[in-house]
Amino acid sequence: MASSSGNRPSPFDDFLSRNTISSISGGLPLVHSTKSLNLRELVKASGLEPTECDVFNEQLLYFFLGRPAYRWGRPESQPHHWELPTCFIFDQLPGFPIERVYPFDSGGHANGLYPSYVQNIPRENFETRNPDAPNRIVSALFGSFQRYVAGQPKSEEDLIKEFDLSVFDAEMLAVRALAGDGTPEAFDDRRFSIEIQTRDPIDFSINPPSAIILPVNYLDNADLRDAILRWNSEPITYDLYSLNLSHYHGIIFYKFMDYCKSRGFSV
Amino acid sequence: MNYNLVEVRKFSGCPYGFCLPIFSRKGSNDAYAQNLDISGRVVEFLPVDTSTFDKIDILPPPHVTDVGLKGFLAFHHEDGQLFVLHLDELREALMGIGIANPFVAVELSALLNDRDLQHLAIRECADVFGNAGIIANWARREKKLFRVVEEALQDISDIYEPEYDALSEDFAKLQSEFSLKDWTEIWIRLWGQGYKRKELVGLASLRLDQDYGFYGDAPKIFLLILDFDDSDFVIKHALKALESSRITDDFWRTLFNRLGNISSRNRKLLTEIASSGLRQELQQNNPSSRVWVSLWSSAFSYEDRAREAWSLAIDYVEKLPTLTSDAAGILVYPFRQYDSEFEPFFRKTRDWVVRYPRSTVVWSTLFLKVVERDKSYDLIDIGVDWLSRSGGNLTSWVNIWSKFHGLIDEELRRDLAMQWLSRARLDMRSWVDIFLLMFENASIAEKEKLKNLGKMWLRSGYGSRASHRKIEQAVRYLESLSAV
Repeated sequence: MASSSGNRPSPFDDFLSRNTISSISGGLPLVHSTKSLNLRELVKASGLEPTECDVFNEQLLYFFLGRPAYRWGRPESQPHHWELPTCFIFDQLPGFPIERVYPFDSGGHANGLYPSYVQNIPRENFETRNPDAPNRIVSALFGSFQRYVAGQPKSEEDLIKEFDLSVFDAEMLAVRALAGDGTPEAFDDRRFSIEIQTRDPIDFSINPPSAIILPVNYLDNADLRDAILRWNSEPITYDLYSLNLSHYHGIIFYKFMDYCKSRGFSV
Repeated sequence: MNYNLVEVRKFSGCPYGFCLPIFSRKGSNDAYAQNLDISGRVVEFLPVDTSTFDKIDILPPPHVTDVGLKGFLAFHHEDGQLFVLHLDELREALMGIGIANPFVAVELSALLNDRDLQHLAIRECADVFGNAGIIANWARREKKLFRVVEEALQDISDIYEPEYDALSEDFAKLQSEFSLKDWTEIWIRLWGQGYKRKELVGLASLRLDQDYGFYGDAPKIFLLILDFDDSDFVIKHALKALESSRITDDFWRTLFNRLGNISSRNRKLLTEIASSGLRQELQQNNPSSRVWVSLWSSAFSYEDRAREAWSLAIDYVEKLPTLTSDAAGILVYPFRQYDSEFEPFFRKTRDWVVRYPRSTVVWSTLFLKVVERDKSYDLIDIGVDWLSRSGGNLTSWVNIWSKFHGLIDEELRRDLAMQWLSRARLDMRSWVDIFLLMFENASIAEKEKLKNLGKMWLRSGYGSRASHRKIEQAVRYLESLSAV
């Protein structure tokens, strides 16, 4: 499958295609994050609509695999903890049309937020459009979904031993280094979150969210409660009172993991 | 560098509860919010775009803090009172405070480390949600995390003294020109900055005595003053301010509650002021449930005010046929108060329910409350008649129908449910619930009807995937019976 840079597969895509990557069991939910402010409109809407992305200059919807990470508005803007996130969790999205997959938050790369060993490589080199890419990335770099969630990639030695890696596979080695360079407990850490983009809207009447992460006070809104009941979604809430970034992001991460376990995901 | 608290903003979508203190600092036009550590000390100040948060129209106290010092948490109570305090002070201030909103109470329970409050609030949230299945996992997670929250909020305390700048020029204006248009505004600003408060109390009292008025800000001003000075002199002026202000003003209710808490001597006068305000509001046929519930919650707590509260409740019931507001929300409150005065109110409400059956939330809510206490034949007959003809768009139909289990013949109850399924709105979640309930023990005749009803529902396109799956399975099964 070709990348957006032309018909030629990206080096990252090439690595994923030419190597035999063992399939792994299980999976993780897809998570779309937005500002809770937008909930007011979303409860009345028929679903999620792509919005203009000024990195790719097209209308896109973003998801992260198994991470309650969030991004909105201009991808270069760093979210502040007061911009209370709401995350729509989808246990599955059958027939989900993938536009692009990146092994990290592409907005972070566009804004130079990553270490130089990643920034020095063009963003397009990491792009893939293969629908199997998310699972193959997890398998190749981590070996299991549990290790992906915990942020424990394989060692560089193991990776070189297992795969056909040469000095020309800088992308794969950079991604591996990035994967081990983060703190998985930090909700805001999107450095190694597999990003999945689509150009299609998500219709809630066909694919309602399985769960929604939101501030607890928002449940006081009757329209929102009706929507949650209509969608048959599970509410997962977090408190606002502490004004402590790591506290409530930690709670979101903790509850998300608990949710995944309760739904039988491998975390 | 010091950061000055300038205002408090609501987290969007949350009218009451915890909110966001906003700070400014000299030399910058930016607004800042604190990132606190678990002990409540400021780790950093980060610029914040305040445009997405609604401002709370109460001037916060003139707090000052900085990185490394204790930060401030803000809580806006349903009665209008705004608390902006250090973590430990806020815990103390909110301990035992009444919260009607269960979702705010869940959060409050984490701050207060109050397990009982949390369990109670979770139960109330489940009631509000009306769907035990969806809320069950949420409740489990809240309880599980309780310990984590508790540990995260271990704190320490430290002392600091706020600093403020002198604003003598503005103060001189207040002294010399009572006719200034922005006199009240300047007064509030100076007060907020902690400038010559004793003198400001004197100026405000003098102004009131000279009948200059406060342009609608009188309750707010006397609330600020009472934090500083609750002498008889100030209380006398605060009562005067209360009497001359509108009852629907947020600050009015806060001032009312504050004055009631300061001294029991004024309760009689306060009761008269409140009753007069509520009766005036009732005359306008559009009472606000917020005001009523708030005043009742304090009135019913005191024996000397309860009698007047019951009298108001009866007046309210008499006005019910003409009221357009959310009367159910208001009248459910007195139903929680059982004392010797309850019976006249109950009889009045019962009479209204019997005389004016209608397909509304108000009627069905009050009927349910009445029938919980009185299961006389006339009420049962009215209920059966209502169930057979009304409630096609009301979830409360299911509540009344469920309540009639054991009260009427089961065959009749099932007939009522079958009739309701034919006329009720298909987008109601309770439609699916009743359908599946009927399907479980359906008779042969019911099965045929349910098959057609199920098909009709599937064609409508409403409901979740899970509901579709269940109804589809039921219809398939019913069709297989027809085939045999």
